[in-house]
Amino acid sequence: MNRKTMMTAAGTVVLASATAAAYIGVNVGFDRTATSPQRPDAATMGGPQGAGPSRDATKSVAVGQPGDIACDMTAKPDLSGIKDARISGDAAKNGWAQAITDSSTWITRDQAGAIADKATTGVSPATAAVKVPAAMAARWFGGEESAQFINPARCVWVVTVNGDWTEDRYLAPPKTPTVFHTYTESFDAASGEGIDFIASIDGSGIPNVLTGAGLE
Amino acid sequence: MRTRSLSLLLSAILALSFVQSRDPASAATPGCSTASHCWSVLDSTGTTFYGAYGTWNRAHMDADNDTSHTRFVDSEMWASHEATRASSTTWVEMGDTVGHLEEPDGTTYYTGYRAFYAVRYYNDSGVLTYREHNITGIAANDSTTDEFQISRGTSNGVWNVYFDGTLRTTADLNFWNTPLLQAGGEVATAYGTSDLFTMYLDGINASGSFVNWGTQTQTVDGPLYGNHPSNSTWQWRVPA
Repeated sequence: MNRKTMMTAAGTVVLASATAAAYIGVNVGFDRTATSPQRPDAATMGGPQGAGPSRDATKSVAVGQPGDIACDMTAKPDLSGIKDARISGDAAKNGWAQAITDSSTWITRDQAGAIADKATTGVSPATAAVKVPAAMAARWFGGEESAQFINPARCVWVVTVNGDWTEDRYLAPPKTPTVFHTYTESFDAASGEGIDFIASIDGSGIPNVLTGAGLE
Repeated sequence: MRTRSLSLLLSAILALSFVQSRDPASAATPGCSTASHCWSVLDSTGTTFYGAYGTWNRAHMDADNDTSHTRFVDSEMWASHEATRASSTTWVEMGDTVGHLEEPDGTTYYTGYRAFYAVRYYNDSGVLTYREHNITGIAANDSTTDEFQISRGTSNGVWNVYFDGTLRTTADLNFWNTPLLQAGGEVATAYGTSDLFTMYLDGINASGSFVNWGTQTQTVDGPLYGNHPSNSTWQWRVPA
């Protein structure tokens, strides 16, 4: 099947709740060397998500892992409410507001996992990725503040990596960086623009696509 | 003899030019990396505040287009719950950042110039947690000034983060005051560049008033420039 054709089909906005999602469609321990052919994206396979086992599930998936939620790859935010000239124009021209219509560059599940995996120093980390509307991801991360700059329906990848992450921002001067053991990040599914990142020293208390915890 | 000397001289010049062309001569911030960040910052100590406010220009800055995942240049301010650098484990920071991500196929792309905040805190279960959020994409412009504010909210332990006068998030961080403030540049690449940032800084006291910082001391790592021209003002840049 032609991937580009499938990706173009994405666009139907169905804002389902997380509880309505079937717990499927997550890859665990993806092959970071696998780049071609790209695996079809579950969220663009047609029809509402969660209707059955994902075709791209390469390994058994534990109960509790969420499935993709239908979202819009090209939705742009409504910036009409931003009156501050310092950011109103910028938001339209930069970052998540950009319209990337070339679906061949949209980020696949494998690529999403590989992007997130770049941050870990761990070996063979377990990784799970799910594609959801931006508003849902923002809620998982504990804030709704992105809504002004990202269309709530726009697709973002949320990826959890159960692997070590060494912190890279801290108060000056640098002390010995702390190693966190699980992290979850979200980024625009079309452009890859980073939106949120959260890490936990012991893996608890953060949204976790591997376990389904914190995805209410 | 003269010919030989001239030949040696030419060889030396050629060798030198070769070395210079391959040298990290283009590295404006040598020694700065993800493993060893460079700083040009002003500290405020000796006074406990309940928030921080800063304005600074949206100066150009950049990180090179190499294959590292996390290289970046930041211009930002921090509010630490602990009173000293050595003891600091929980804090709020916000400002401007530029960096890039890497595609699985090895190509890289910039995350762009972003307004961001990050928090490092112990959650309600006592678990150390770090969160970072990009607020929005903005365009570098040396003549545009942004406002950054971190201040305590209405509930114990909750902080409000404002960018350009608008509330961007409320974060429950389980601390509610800040005896150590910091502002300036953080460079995590040998190839960082920037124009001059001029940062005008205030602390927010218990009554919500914006006041000058406490005792002010500076830290400027070798490749960077820093200047403390007046009370509660800091300038930094990557030298051209």
